[in-house]
Amino acid sequence: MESLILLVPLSLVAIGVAVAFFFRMNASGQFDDDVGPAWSVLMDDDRPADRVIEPPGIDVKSDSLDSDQGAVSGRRSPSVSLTTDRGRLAENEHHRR
Amino acid sequence: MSTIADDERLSGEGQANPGDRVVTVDATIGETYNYSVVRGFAVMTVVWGVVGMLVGVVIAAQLAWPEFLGGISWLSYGRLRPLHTNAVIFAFGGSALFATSYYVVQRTCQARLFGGPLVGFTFWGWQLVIVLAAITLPLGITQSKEYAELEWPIDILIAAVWVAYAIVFFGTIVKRRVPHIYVANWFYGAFILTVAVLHLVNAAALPVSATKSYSAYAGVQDAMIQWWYGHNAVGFFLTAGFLGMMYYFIPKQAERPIYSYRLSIVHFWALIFTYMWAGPHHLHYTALPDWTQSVGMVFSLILLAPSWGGMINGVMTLSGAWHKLRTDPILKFLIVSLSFYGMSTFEGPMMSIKTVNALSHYTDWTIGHVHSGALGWVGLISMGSIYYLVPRLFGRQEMYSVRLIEVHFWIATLGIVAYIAAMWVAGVMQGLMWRATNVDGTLTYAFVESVKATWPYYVVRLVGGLLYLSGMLLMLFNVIMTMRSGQPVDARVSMPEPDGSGGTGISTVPAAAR
Repeated sequence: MESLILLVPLSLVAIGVAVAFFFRMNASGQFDDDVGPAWSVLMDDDRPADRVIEPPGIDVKSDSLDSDQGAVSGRRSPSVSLTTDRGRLAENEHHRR
Repeated sequence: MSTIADDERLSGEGQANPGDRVVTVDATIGETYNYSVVRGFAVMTVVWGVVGMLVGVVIAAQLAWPEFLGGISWLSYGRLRPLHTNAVIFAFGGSALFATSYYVVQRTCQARLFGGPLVGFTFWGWQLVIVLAAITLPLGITQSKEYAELEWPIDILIAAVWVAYAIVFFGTIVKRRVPHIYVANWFYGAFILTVAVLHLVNAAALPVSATKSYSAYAGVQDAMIQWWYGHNAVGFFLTAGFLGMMYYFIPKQAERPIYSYRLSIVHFWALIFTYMWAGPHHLHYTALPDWTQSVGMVFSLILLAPSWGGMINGVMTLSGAWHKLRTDPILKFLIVSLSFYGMSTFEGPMMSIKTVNALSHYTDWTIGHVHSGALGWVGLISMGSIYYLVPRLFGRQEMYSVRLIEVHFWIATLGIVAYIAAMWVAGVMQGLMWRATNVDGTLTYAFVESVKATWPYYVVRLVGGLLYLSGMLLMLFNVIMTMRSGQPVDARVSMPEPDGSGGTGISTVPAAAR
């Protein structure tokens, strides 16, 4: 089975690289925070502004509160209830702006 | 132009180190995410989806009525079938992966795509690959390797596009503005790297002319390499890449964090370490050495654990927000796709058990299994993600018609159920008929009798496929109407918070303004 002479070492090398990479990333602290990253993705607001501002020279600045009132794709329930502290922080952050 | 970041700087809020902060902001004023390539791939996902599924419906009809296209050789089943698989896997699925990975890596790294002209090259290069496939496969120009039929010049183009893709993707990760690499990017990254290795090894061939080459491997060697490629293509192209989609779009659409971020990391590494070894289960009871088959079977069974861990992690993300499933059709797409993922990753390990495989192999059960994964998991999660993306790429709050998304969801789900149920029944029936023997040891049924008995199920399968295709046509209509009523917009690169977590800048600008 000559093909296995190619595939088995190739797979072992791939696994070896993955293991080495895992330990390196682990040592660099990539996996230390197992809560925050899940929230920070939600805090990145990627909804489009209510109105697209005409270019150029005009301030392109949209208020996140404005777009909060519009529905996101799908229907958005009016009371967004983020239950953890971190979530409330995110909400406050929105309103502060 | 002023941005939110400008205001922040002027009002001097929340600064850890004022000097650094100003530099960061200055360097990025006016920079937008590269949404244009995401738009291109997102729209082509829908277009190629319609094309690929249409070809699928045609060949499903050919199995019930072999001559309904008049027996033209270009349109014969043997030539259209690879066109169908290439179009749905690499054109539809591939475009969805490009679109979502480019979107996710930019948003989660808070950096514009790296690579300048390479980004456009990945788009046009990939479209060229697809067009060349659509020309060469009906002409019968093929390497005859399943899911790797394209001849060597196209293989070289694929390799070039893929290298550019890797540079763009990993370059963006390197220039990220947040320290953490979000889990979805790990899945996309593994998918890109592994597919590169798989393609290079499996496509090794000796060209004898521009349209003909011979594989570097022969006989059972070739079969082993082919299914090492084939299964890992399922594992990394059709699973890891789409899991990247799952880990971004489900939390975003549900507005809930992933149920367990820690489990998502474990999911990733467990999947990476076990997937590579499962390929031989495609070659049970062949000339492949027995021990190799057994290794393939054992690793396939092990795969059940990370697969279900990931599925549960995705579904449980909705905990506390289940009510959203009632009203949000995009969420329905995403969550039901996970149920199909769970179903097919349970079915797969079961079918890899040698005694089960003795019944299922070469029957339509395999086709049912593949389509439970392809229509259910890959198809639905791609559609859900594209429905999420399109309004954001065209400056609208939602799709042209949310109701049509709902209709699409139900049509597609009914179509899948009709398809896979028909194939399950047909497959088990075929397996039982083929192995049935009389008292004197002769076969009870001739092969053609099993074909005849399968005919009604082929018609049901065609109906299922037609339903799925019509759902895709609704999606095309909905996307076109959304594009017409919106306009292409590019979002500004959001500013990281001082602590390195995500910012919330959401300004959008018309794409034409730049």
